[in-house]
Amino acid sequence: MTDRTGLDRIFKPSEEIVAREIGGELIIVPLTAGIGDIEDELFTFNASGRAIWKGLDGRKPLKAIIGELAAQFEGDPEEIEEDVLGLVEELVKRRIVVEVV
Amino acid sequence: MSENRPSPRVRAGRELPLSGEDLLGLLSEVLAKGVRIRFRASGYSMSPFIRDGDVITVRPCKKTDLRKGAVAAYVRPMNDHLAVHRIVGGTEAGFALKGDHEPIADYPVAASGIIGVVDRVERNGRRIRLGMGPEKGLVAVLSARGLITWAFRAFGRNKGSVT
Repeated sequence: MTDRTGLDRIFKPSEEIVAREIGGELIIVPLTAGIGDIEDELFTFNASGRAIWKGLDGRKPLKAIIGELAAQFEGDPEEIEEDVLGLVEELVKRRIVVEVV
Repeated sequence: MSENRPSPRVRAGRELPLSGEDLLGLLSEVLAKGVRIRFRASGYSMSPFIRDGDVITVRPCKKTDLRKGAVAAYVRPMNDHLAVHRIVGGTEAGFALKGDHEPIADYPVAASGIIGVVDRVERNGRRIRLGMGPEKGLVAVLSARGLITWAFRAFGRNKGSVT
């Protein structure tokens, strides 16, 4: 997993989304082909996904996010790393986050 | 964490209980990025041109878009709520916007309170053009005089579909 993204990489929300908290839920509206479609396709996160999303702020490398989550959730760091990398990969694929270069 | 594996969940926006305030916030934020926003309209104030449940697309607007007949998304001066109504007039003090099915216009509405204009209406997957094309100036005149229902009764029924 580490080879896929690298734990020193930094990610931030894409310019092609609008993220907004509605009714206690984080809603991600993708702005695809010049349109934000809130009729059909939106994204939300479960609790752990949301915790990871908070860390994808354009400043923290992935390893810092993993460290924070390991302390917060008292979970197995390897499992947390796998979860973070898996989610980031998915978000990059969906163009919800982009890597800070 | 793995018991609750993180993943983005795809949801249809129509499933979300969006309040008017939520919708206004989303609309403002999306339009501020210079892109259009597509959402489900609720209410009957623009009936019969926009009906409850129609899906409308609102785009960012320029001053030149704000002409009589255009259907605009704006913040109502009386309560700061979002509304989507037709421009039926205006003066230097501001625009008059009115739901085609409502008796009274909001006036004056400052240009800064208008956040976008409707450029597409869909009903049951089909595009609805009536009231949004070149005839919209005439529709605005009829709407301002409260004659939309009369016009539909007089002409619409005899022409078959009004959409």
